[in-house]
Amino acid sequence: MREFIEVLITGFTIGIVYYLVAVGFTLCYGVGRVLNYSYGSFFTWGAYLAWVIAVGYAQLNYFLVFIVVLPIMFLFGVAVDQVLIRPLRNRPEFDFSVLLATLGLAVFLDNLVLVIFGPRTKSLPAFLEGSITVGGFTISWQLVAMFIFALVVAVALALFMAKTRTGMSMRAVAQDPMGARIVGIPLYRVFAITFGISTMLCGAGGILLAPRFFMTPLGGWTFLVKALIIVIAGGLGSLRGTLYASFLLGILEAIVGWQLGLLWVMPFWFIVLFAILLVRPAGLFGAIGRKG
Amino acid sequence: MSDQMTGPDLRTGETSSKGGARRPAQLPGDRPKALRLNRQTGTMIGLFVVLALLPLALGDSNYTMRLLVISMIWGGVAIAWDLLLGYAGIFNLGQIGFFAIGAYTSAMMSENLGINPWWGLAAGAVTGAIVAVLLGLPSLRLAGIYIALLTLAFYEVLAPLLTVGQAIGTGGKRGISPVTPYSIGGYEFSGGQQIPWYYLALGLFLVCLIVGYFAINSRFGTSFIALHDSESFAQSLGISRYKVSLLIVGLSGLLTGMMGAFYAHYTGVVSPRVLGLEVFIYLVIMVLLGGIGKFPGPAIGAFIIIFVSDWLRSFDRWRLLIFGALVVIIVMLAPQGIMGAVDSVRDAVRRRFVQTPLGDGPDGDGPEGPAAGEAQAKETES
Amino acid sequence: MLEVEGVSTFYGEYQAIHDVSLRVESGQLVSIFGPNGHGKSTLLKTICGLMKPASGVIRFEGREIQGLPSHKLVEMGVVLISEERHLFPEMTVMENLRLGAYAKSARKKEAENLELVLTMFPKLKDFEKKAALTLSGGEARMLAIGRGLMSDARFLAIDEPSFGLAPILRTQVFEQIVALRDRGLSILLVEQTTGDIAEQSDYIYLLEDGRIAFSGSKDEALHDDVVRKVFLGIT
Repeated sequence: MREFIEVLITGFTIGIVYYLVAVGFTLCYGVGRVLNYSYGSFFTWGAYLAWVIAVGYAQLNYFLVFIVVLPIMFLFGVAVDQVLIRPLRNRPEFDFSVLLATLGLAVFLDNLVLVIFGPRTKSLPAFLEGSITVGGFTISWQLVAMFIFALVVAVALALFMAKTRTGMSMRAVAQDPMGARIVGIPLYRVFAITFGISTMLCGAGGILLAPRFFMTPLGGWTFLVKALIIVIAGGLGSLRGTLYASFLLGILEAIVGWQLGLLWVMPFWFIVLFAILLVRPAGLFGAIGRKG
Repeated sequence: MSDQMTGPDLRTGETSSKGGARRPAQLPGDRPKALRLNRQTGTMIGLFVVLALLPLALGDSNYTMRLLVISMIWGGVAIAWDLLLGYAGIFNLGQIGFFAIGAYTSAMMSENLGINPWWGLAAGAVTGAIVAVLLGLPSLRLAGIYIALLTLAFYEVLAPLLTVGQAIGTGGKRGISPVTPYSIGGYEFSGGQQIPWYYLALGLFLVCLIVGYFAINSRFGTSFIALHDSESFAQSLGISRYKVSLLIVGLSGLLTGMMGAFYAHYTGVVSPRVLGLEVFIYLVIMVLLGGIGKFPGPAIGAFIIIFVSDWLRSFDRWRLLIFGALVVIIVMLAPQGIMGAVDSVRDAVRRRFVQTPLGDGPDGDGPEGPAAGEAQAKETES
Repeated sequence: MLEVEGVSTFYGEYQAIHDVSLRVESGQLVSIFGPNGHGKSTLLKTICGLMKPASGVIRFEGREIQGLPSHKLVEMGVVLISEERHLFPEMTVMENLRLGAYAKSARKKEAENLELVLTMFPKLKDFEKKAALTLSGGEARMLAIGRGLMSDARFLAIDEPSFGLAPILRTQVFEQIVALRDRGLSILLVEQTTGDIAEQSDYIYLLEDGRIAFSGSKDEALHDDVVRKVFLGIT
């Protein structure tokens, strides 16, 4: 029983981090209308950059890692948006072009990791060593750190979206881009910022989860798929849905991994997704995504 | 409505009707153009003739022939995929899944059940078609992004499933090997003698070309292009998008599964590796390079990519890096691919030199002015 | 204040407006009438930077603005109130209004304009916290106009504000528009056909097939038989 609770706590914590990753993806799609296929590669790069700085330079000072890597990810996201995506927005086949372009970028980025870092798995040491025992449960400090950090980011993001003018402009563009233009919101600037934030969130996820999952050049794809599943299961366009789905899947993943073994984890993600879609085709809280 | 000002519209999931209510290239009621000589048939015939005669020039060069066989295999798949991508407008990311299904079906039949591999070809095609249709059933009712996501899910889940399916004889992570080659009479195909493989592959490739061509140009085929171009217009003619799309998906799966089956017996091994990202990106770049929606461009793209990839063999790790960058560059700078470039050049040449006094369009499509004829020619060529 | 000269705009290959010229002097209420689908909305969108003209010049207070993106035009005080409204459906009425003042030039006077809008449309105050998608047609129309006013515009392009409204609301909306003109705003109004607003217009244009078919003062319009009967509904 005690083990079960600990597994729950782990799943819950990872769930929050999944939420960050999923939200980044949702923002990208909801605001920018871009299905970012290189999202997984951004995740990988976040982790590897963290590794470079933590192991290579900063002597495991994670504070430094965050304040260096996150802005880099943001700027990188903005660059990708301006260089790759913006020129494509003119085209009638935008959806498709952007899918291919981000796919190509993903392959490029993945193999860049491969070329630079080699194919062997790497691991990022935990932020904090040791664990704390509370009321009979043992929780690693690492988990606590993850939880706190992810929570802070999630709350900060929520406030940002709700209260700040930039955040509101992003919501406006997501809800009605024409309306946003009418009101004087500079569409392209919003796209750029959104992509930057999305990339940053993804990178944050990569940093937080790197100590738990082994880092490989192709490792990011799993997280792209997970983010996709969370977003669809929660309902495209519903942040509330993304939140619930993140926790649901995080916890379920932990339980499945604990009981059935890691091999069953990915299939389980798909099973849950299909189960949810069977009952609610638009996701838990989704608006209609169907044709006619 | 295509907004002049840049900026995406709210994605409602409806297929964008390009350029408003444009009359589709060919209505189902029009005179069938299938059997005339035009850019598509010309290229097809040229390709076939070249390939048929090539072994005479190559003589003993087994290695080159091997590359050609591989090119033909992927050329067929590329054509099949382009039917969905470029003509029906379906973002199917699970195409390689059909290939793998065909390969595994045929391999399992010949290795686990001892059935003659020739049956495997048919079986692979059929299972490919069935799986494709099964995938299409839920996907096609949904908006574009859902199709992409669902087919991606299918693609992602297939490899783990095949690994776990060791129990039913999929060979798990290692796959199945060796896989029995074909035999005719007493003669068994072997790796040392490429000629029989070559002509078998050529036959299959021709099947793909012909089926693809008729799918696009026949009365039936134009109906699904019409759907893609202008949904409301086509619906007014009573064409059910869903049914037609399912048919096309099934056809695509059929061709792909068939090629997969052949691939299994040709390479002598099937494993989950065929579902790897590397293969997928290769397919993507083949279709892109050749020209999406520009039959038979994707097949030509396949040949180019296979040979370029072989040429870059020594670059090892850098190869995929280059390919990834190549995809991005092509999408950004030359999205119409090679066939598209050819089309543009051809149209430019036509406009300068071909003046038809009767006002017929360059293809003799009917009494319209040269300008309209040209515009129509442009539409029919795509 | 606003000059449009020889402007043509295309949707893909389809030409929506052909060589259109018109003027709106400072403080005028100018109306454009014409059948549906003949280019009125396209014209307004072109003026307000939501579409790019293929040719022609548009000047606002002497400055050339054609082809500039909408966010720059809003900063200058050129604002569109669209027929489709384009409200932000999941945001509250208040949030929609506040976003109306997104432009830097509008932020300074946000509080002032908010009060003005709520005075003009008191019902909006009651709906402050309601999500925009829950509003009725008339309420949404009012919100759209209110949001447009929050931008502290000097020139308003209004596209069919009375569409789908009950007669009593239509009169109300028109009264507000006239009041705005009287306060010094320059307004370019597009309507399908109506008598009451024509009465108040300083100048009238008729747009047919994407071309100006008639232009003149209200009196001239009233004397043109065709214009009178068909488009102004006056017998």
